[in-house]
Amino acid sequence: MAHAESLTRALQSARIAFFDYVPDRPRDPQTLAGTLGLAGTLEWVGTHFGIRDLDSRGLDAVADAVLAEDRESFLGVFRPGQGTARGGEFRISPADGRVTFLYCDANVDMGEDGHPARIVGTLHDVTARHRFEDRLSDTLREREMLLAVIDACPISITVSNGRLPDLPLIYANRTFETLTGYGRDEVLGRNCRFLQGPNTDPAVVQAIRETVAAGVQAEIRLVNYRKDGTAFLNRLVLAPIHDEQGALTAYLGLQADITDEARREDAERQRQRIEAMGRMMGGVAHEINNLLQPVTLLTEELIARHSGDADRAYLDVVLNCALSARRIIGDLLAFSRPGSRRAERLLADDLLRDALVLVRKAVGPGILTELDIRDGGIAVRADRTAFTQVLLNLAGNAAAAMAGAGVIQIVLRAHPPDGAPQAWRSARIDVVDTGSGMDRKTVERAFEPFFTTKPVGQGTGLGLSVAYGLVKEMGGEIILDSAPGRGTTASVLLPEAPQEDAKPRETPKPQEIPKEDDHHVHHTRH
Amino acid sequence: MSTILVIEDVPSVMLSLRIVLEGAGHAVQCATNGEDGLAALRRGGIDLVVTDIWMPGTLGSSVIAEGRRIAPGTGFLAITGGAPNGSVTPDQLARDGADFGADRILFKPFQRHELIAVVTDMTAAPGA
Ligand SMILES: Nc1ncnc2c1ncn2[C@@H]1O[C@H](COP(=O)(O)OP(=O)(O)OP(=O)(O)O)[C@@H](O)[C@H]1O
Ligand SMILES: [Mg+2]
Repeated sequence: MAHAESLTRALQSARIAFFDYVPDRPRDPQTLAGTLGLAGTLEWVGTHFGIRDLDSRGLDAVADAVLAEDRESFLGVFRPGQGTARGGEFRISPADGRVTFLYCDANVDMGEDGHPARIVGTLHDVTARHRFEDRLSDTLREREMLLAVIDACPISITVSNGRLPDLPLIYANRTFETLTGYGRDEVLGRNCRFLQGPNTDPAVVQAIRETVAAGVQAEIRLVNYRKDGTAFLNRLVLAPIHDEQGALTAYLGLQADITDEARREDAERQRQRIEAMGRMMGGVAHEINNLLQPVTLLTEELIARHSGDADRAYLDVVLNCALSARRIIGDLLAFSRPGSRRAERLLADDLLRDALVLVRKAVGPGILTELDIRDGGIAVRADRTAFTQVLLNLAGNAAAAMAGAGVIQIVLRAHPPDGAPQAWRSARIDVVDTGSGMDRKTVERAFEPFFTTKPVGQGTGLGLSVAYGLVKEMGGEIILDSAPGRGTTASVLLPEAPQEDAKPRETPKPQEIPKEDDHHVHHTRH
Repeated sequence: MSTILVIEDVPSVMLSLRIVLEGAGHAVQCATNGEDGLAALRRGGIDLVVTDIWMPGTLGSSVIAEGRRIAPGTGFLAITGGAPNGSVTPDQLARDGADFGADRILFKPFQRHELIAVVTDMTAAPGA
């Protein structure tokens, strides 16, 4: 008996119970109706798990403590049925209200009548394990959610292992893949420098190296390359992650493609510079105009008085200089003038064809102009004269860059601006030459008034600044794309004019090709 | 022959205007600022006023507004080369149809024949 007692104590402290259950022979189903059919002899050793009246009521007492939802699994163990070994889990909530998870492991001896004769087994409190598993799965779920969030984040995120030499990547999110075109499996384990390329500034690479060596945070702009070789300006934020001891464990990298942003900033800077210069020019013009006034009037007065004179020729020179100066001042102001001229709503293709008549005469022999209208029918608001002047200036530059011999391609197409609603379009006119091209420094300064690389007497350096002002007045912009040796593309973007103030072209030319499929290329040699 | 009052702060411009206008047979009175110009107008006998617009002190446009009250029958010709601070340029004014309240406007630097044509026109006009 001492033996049984100590066994009971041991089982109690281990929260285990042993049972031996001999069910009553089932009599007729009538008697069973309304009961759970759990009548029988129950021997129970070990903990009662807080179940009351176990000794007197037997399995019915257990059944009462089982949570309603788990009743089926409980009955699956103890009620007569098929199979000889049963196991299952169910929860009980005895009077004290605490829920206990019980795991039951049972062995069934089948009687000759096909009903269980005896069921022997153990019951085990597995609440603690359950609680742990719950917490574990919560943690896992949280981690998974966090990873999913980071993965879906619209910012490119990478993590490098800071404990290994050369900081190999151990994580890259989906945006990194879309940004760079590299798959995760291609990049994990490598240092992120595979994104660098020919135009990556070595000084910036050095700065990254120093940042990482110092284990500090930094924001760096550098030229990176996608898998397909295209370059983009990357705003890279590097942030170290340290462990509790302060040792570097990882480096977080955030990458953002700021190519367009940088381009816009650049254009804005240039615009501001030109506008400031325009204001200055306006002030200078006022002074010069006042100085030219007496030069002009008095010279003319003298010419009138010395009409038959030998000195008259000198006076003509003075007057011509004054008049040239007046013209230059006028040109100079053209690029800084705000407000509108006689802007009309015109089809870009019509505008272009009209302007080309003059342009072809102006560019000189040896220059071939090709007009390629890819998208016809885009209406813009523009002043014909101003537009012609713009095209003249651009074509003049193109012709000069090709030393007077070559092909200028002029392409008109629709241009959807980035980020703008689909309905909003521009007419984009590209003036493409295969001339000398410009280096970066020249492109940067090309719009400045008086900036010229032409020999003295050949260019005033006003062509592009005038064109810039005129196009700005039409609500558009000019963009230069050039590289030495490759040639230059000057693009004029004119916003599409809304339908409201539609003014049809006065006299449609009968020989005109239908606008819709106007892919014709005109070749004209002068 | 008419009597023309020229209001202009730049001496060399004033000189050239006077020479040309006198050469065309007109009598010229000179004022180097708006106040002096208005004083001359009050004395009477002026057929035509030629005034600069941007001058220190009273602006040409004010001179014209005030001058019309003083001498209702007088013609006003504005001449300008744009604003000294660059905020307004002559071609811009031309486009905007700016007239500063004047009957006619010439943008500096204009030529001798332009000036003579406008002045002849204005002094021949009925009521001038
Ligand atoms: N298509 C082009 N190809 C190569 N360089 C160009 C091109 N267009 C412009 N440039 C460069 O930009 C400079 C400025 O051009 P811009 O038209 O303003 O003046 P310019 O042609 O030198 O003189 P202007 O037009 O007043 O006669 C040019 O001198 C040239 O160096
Ligand atoms: Mg040029």
